[in-house]
Amino acid sequence: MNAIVSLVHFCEADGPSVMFCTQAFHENAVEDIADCLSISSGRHSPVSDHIEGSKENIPFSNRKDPSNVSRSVPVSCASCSFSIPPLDTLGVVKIYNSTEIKGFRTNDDENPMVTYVGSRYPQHSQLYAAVRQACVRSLSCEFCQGREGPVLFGDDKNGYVLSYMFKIKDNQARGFQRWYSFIFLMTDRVYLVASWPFLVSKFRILATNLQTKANQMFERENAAREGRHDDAFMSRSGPLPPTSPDQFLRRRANQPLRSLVELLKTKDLFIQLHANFSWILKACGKRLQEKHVNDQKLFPNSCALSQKTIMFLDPINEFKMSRNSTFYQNGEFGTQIVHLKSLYDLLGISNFRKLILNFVRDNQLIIRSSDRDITKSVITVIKDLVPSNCCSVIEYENKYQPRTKCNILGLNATTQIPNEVDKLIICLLDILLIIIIVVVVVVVLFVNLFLTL
Amino acid sequence: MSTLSRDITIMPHSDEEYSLHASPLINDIENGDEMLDDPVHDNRPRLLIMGLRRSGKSSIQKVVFHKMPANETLFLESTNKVVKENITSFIDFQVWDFPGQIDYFDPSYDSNVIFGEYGALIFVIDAQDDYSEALIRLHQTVTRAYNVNNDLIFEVFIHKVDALSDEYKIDTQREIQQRTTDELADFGLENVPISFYLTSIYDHSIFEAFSKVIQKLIPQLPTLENLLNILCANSGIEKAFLFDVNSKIYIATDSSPVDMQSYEICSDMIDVIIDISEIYGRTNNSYREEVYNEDHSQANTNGTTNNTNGNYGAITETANDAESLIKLSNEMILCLRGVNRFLALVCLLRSDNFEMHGLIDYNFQCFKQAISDVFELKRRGTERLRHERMRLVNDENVGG
Repeated sequence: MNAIVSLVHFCEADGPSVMFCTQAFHENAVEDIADCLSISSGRHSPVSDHIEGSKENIPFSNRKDPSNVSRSVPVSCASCSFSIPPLDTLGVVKIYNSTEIKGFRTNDDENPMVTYVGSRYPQHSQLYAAVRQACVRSLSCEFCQGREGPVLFGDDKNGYVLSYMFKIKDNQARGFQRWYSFIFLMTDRVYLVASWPFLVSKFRILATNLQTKANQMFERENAAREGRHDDAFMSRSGPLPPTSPDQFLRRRANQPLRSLVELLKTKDLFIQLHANFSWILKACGKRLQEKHVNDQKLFPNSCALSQKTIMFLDPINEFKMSRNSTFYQNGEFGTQIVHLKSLYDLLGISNFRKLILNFVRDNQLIIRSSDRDITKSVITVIKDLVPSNCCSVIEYENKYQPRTKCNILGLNATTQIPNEVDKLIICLLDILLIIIIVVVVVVVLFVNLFLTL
Repeated sequence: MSTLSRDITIMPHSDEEYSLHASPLINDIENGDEMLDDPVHDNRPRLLIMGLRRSGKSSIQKVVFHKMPANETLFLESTNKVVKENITSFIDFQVWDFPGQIDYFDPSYDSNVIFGEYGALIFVIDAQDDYSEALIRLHQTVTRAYNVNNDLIFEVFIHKVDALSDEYKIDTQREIQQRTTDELADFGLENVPISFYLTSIYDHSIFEAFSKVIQKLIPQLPTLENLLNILCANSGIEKAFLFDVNSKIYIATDSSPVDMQSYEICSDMIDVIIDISEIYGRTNNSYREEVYNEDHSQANTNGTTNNTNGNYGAITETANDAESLIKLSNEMILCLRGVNRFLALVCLLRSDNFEMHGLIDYNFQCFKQAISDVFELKRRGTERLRHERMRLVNDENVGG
């Protein structure tokens, strides 16, 4: 999973701007992050069990790569820049000039190959363009029902974006609120859509957290301002109504608004954000595992040809050669069933259905055959139908085993099933081998379909 | 980058949707049928309000089209998206309010979609602030927009002039005008017509400026003016305005010079009528109500007419047969007549001339008829166009 999480803001002065983003780096990309500050492990963050700062401090330089120089980064104002609390509070051994700090670095102690880097902009220029584009789109193009909430957009070129928009109250802002958005950018649309509930719930928690803090501050400041107004306008008689914010608006017209850290009075805000973003990246990556499904196993659409194709002498089913070519002889003795489809072809639809139905209902399945390999192969094919925890297999046995021990049982052809066994809960598949080559399958089903009730 | 430009459109019609249909002709028609909902594929004229941040774009839009009280605009939050609004009135047009922070000439936006249509670009400059930056942006905007679409009408609102003294206002306007034309001349664009207005949301100047802008977008304007001239000449009317009732923009006036005071009192009269009709008006069309001795405090703006002797009028809920008269203390009469759902005629005349009000009524009926003929022509034109398209679709369907 390759993704980038970012906090973006509609800045009063600069318009949409990227404030902070966190991305995951794998071992081979380490040189990109040499500029970043590493945090020692002493921080307490909400998800500190997942992240731990690296022990060693990497001296960072103000090295600039060419892409960095050519990029037109707007001169940042306070309201859309990100800041780090004084380093001595972080327990970092050396104290660096704070203007040189470009971001955080977090090592994943479960997987040492992965590093999470938080900085204002992504290092890669193409990625920067994509994030920037996503930022502009999310804040000034996309509409979301109710204006606050998640929206998904994107294209193949710039990646797909889940954007969670929210507003934060600010006493000094126009309209008393400022617009922010969390954006989650990745190239895999399907994965992003699948992660939607997870991401939205996490972003919502983060946003609500910030909003609650901001609301508290807003209330407090409002109360303070009311008090001030009473004093200030008691003595003054002017044409302006005392509640008009006109005065301070005009004064502040060209001043940037407070930074988010200042607004929320949370010094380590960006550290928390970084921690949360890193965790989201990690957890989202772990949530869904991409796995290549070898669908040939279930639905063969091409014939697996072997040297010798077996002739069937089946009195009941009329099979065509080509359809059953998947049932082939492996080496000298190993006659096997490699697909569920070939089993289906052998049994015919009604028997096959009975077999599958009984199996997935957790009735005991007994496969009785004189050939160990065939039994094995049938079991392998069938047991994939249920989650691996739901199936206990005894592959080849000479004696009947009760259902409590196993639900798939391979038996020698000569084994008798004891009479006391409840015939309602077992399903018996007899495979009769005639010499080696010709196989006739007869299914005897001691199955009562009343079981369905 | 095409995605961004398409997103400016916001409406649900995307290219993908069109491509689902087989016949391009049908697509076109469907587009036409939903014209009312789709601001982009719509051919109604556009008013693009641009300018630096905090110059008062959203405030103008709110005050003029939403009747927001001017001092409440202080609490507006900053605009972060292009706000599009369809104004349905005697002519339909749309207002696009742009956020000042974003440069819409950036290649990621499709300039043709934004500036390609017929309309006017209003650039708002905050006169209380240092406007040098705004002028630079104005030059950029005009040159680039002119390159995209040279039919665009450029208007500059020198805004927030309420706090400036009269001389300073004139100086500011002269300087801005001078610098803009010089700068454009350097780029070889000296023949781009740009009009400058001093505006403020705290008085009527913004409505007047908007009126002038809208008037440029009305193709029927000469006809309307001509009709008003004829009406004035034949009925002894001093000054007549044809108002859009909802926005208080006047869309035409007779050719005598507009003086601010008469415009203000006429525009205030509309407020009075609307307020009174909200209280006393009935939904019943035939109901007539006489209102006596209504205190006309709104006329205070005009020093000579601040004492009304009393007014009387008849208002009905639907404005098209509303009529009202206010006698002013300076022997003048303010007279309002509803023309249609959106328009009202407000005129000022001497009370001597009102003696023959039978004639005025008759003239007014003729005028009303003429106006409805003018707009009927346009409506029929659009209808015919639509019918032709429908027929084409039907033929296509039969053929297919």
